[in-house]
Amino acid sequence: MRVADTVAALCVGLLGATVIAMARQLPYEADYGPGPGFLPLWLGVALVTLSVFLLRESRVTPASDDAALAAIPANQPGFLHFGPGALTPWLVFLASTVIVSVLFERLGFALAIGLFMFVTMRWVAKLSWLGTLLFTVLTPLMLYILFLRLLMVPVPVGPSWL
Amino acid sequence: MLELLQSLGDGFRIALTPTNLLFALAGVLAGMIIGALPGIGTVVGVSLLLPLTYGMDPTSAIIMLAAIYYGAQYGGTITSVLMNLPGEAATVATTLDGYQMARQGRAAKALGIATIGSFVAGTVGVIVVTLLSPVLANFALKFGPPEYFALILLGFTAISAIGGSSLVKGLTSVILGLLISTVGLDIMTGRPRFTFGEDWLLGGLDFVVVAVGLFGIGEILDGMMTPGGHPIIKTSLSWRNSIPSAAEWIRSRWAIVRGTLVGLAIGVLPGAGSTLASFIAYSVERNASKHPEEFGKGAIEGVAAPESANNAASATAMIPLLTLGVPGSGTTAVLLGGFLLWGLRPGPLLFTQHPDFAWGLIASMYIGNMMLVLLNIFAIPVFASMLRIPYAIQAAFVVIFALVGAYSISNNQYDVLIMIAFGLLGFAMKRLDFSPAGLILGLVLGPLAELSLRQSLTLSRGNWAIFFERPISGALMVLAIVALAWPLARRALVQRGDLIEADG
Amino acid sequence: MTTTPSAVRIRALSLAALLAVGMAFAGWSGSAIGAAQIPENYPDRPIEFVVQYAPGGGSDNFARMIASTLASEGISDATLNVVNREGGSGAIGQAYVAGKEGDNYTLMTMTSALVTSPVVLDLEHDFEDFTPIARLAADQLLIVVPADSEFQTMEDLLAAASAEPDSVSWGGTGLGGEDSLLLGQIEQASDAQLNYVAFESGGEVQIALLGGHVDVASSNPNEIIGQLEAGELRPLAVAGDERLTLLPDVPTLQEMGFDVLFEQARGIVGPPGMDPAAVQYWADTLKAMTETEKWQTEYLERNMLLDAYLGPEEFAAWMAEETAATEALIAEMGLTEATPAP
Repeated sequence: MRVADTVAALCVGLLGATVIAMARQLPYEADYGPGPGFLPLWLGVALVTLSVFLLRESRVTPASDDAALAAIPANQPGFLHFGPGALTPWLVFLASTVIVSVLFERLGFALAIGLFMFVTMRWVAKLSWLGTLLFTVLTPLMLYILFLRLLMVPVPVGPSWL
Repeated sequence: MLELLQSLGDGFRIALTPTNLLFALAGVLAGMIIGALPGIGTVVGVSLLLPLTYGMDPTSAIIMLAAIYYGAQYGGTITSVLMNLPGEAATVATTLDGYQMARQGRAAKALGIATIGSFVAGTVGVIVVTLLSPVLANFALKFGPPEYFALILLGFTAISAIGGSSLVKGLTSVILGLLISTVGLDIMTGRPRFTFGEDWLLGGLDFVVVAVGLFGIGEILDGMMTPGGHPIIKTSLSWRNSIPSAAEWIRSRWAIVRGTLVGLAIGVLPGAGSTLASFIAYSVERNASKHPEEFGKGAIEGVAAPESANNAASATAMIPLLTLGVPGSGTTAVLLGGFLLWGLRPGPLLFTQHPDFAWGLIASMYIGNMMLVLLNIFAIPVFASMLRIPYAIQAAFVVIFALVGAYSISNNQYDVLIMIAFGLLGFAMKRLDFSPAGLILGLVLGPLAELSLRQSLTLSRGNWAIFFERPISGALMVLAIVALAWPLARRALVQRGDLIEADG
Repeated sequence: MTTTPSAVRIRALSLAALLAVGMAFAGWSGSAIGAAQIPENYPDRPIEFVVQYAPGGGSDNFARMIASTLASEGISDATLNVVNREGGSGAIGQAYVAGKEGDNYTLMTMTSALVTSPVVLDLEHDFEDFTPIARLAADQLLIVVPADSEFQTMEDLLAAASAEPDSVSWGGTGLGGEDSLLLGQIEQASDAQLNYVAFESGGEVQIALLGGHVDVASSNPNEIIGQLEAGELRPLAVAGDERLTLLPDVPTLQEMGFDVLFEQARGIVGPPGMDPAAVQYWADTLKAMTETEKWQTEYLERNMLLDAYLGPEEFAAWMAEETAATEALIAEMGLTEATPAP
């Protein structure tokens, strides 16, 4: 945990410094009392201060601290410690989630979600080809009925270039 | 009094007609299903279903819409417990212990106590609406900007209850939430802040988009690091399992009472009523409990208190709408839109000008509460059985619903991207033991705190004494300062004690 | 760390390649469609009627009322699908419609904010990016105080606000919005200076006013008619150029000798470069709609709005005028001094 905690502390500090720099361009005071820059500036200061404490905590708290371990939901020690065989499916899942989000509007939901289901069902859930195929076809269909027919949400159905 | 009962009786006569009962049932069911879809919050759920009621008779329409409202709110509780995914700010506090209970194989029990708490609180809430609407409306009017500011400070005392194992990390989460809340147009000066010149950021970041990413996507990415997902103890799914044991009942009953009271009082205040109520109720319960260390690890009171609070609050949130014509929450704002479309103008004269409508609505609130309990006896085992679906399939569906849900909030791609970005942040926060609930606390209360502070100082023309000169705000300020300082002081004392022991 | 067989990894990699190809295709998308001529039987396809605000709001109500009046009164057999694309104070829906150049099958609701916000906030899209179709209704602002207020007339109020600047507080929605622009006009026309307190929504302003936390506020009549009827609030003046039929005793600011005229409008615009024939079709259709009994009673009367139809050219001229007036006003109010914020 120590490296990850240290990196996190530094990120918080960096964010705080950026916020301070940006907040200084906003008026600190209004006619009466604080202006739009007041809260952001102090939030930035608070983040920088907290990053110092976080840095200290990351050194003081030993990596094997029982309380800290119990608090980690997956009961997995370490920032990126994967269970056996979990890394590849995790990466596939993450990649397909990010890609489907980026392409959601362009591909239209039918294609985007079909593709997503195909990949995740086959290589993450490790279903048979038949099971994969069923999810790939039925999920967009179900969503189509639910969102477009029943709720009339204007989600783009097909690819935007067609 | 007799007149009141007579009016209420008339209301029941209207609400109990077969057509209206059917609309109420349809509304509760539709609301519950929509609310239980991961990624679709209560406000979005109600506004998606609002068009279904266009063209209906106004009384039937509002009965159905109100039923959708309770249904969706309960549906949001289901995803909070089963998937750690709050559908609205008011159920964030429920995730803290509800989801832990689910992982211990007590999902049905968590949903059961939430149902009981909601029913008790909802019923008391409706009784209060029936009897005390004018009194509470006057109480709400006493709250000006200084009172709001003091109350929100009190809300921030929940930090120590929800912040996780490290106070520093808990505070960092809250500050991050506050920072995110400053994105958008500053209404006091009409200036954009942190929008990087992008017009679409002027309205700020939507709560549901942030919460679904942070909790939903973050949780999945975390869970999938273990093959088969987070370990969850599977138990039999009979409905008997959803009834709390005697010991659990004893632990929860006062939590329900306290949660209800907190919810009733705070819910009537327009703004962040039910969210503030649920956080305060959770924090009150933890302080009142003999086992504060069990909170966040599946304490049943940690579900009972906030659920009672937010349901009591959602009943009293109707008071400003009905008596003043002013919506008290995002969802009641959608209801107001419906009212206006049907040609009804809520306000001081609603009860005299449209008694059928007003009393029919109140009567339907009693009926809606009953229906939710009856439905849940059957529904809880069904919902709890969702946990038996293989984790990867659950995960894929959460992502899909989250995507469509985020997109449907305002039909644009940006929200989808923001949601995924918060998913990655949520994942990192979980791994590093930063509290996502703390971030939400900051995000929801931040704008209210800042705005009411600046409004107060504008009203007093820069005089800070305004917070202490007014009786309600003065009392709340003192309470908030004591409550904020006490856990910090206690923690500092305890830590010093530990260090001395360690040194020795 | 993992024991996954490499075969799975290879499959995952080939899949990534597949997705990459998909991305490449998507990148190549998006060809602009030029301004198409409309067919004889226009509107031959359903129209996407964009509301840039949330369901349940004033614009949503307006759009749905238009769709239902056109259908029920048999004025047009066009299908209008009302779609809420809210967010960013309207910016999201406006960007969406502004990007549909030459599309004859999209319409959008318009409020005065489409004229004022681009000026105040320096937004990317202003009214010139849209094709004006018609103005349909005008809304007034009423200046109100709590029933037990010490101020009996507008003159009382302004006298107190001139005697001691900032001693009278005026509640309104965000700075740069309608309420603050009205106050800006009033301050220019008198020597009064009021203390403006901004709230998140009109509802919160009402609560603050009823609770006596602010002294005075402005509001659209339909939002407060219930409070006026119940005698909780008292109107002092109307900001429009004539008295309201429902409140004949309330004078206009102009009658009192203040050079203030503030009216809000609701109308319909289309995407840039819409076919003039399509514009004319909608202008005529909407004109016919405003003349129906249903529109007059169920929309205008119920919401206390004035019939204020303007055809495409007059509408465009009116928006240009309003923009110039807003620019002058906010320069005077000092709202444009702001350097671009981060």
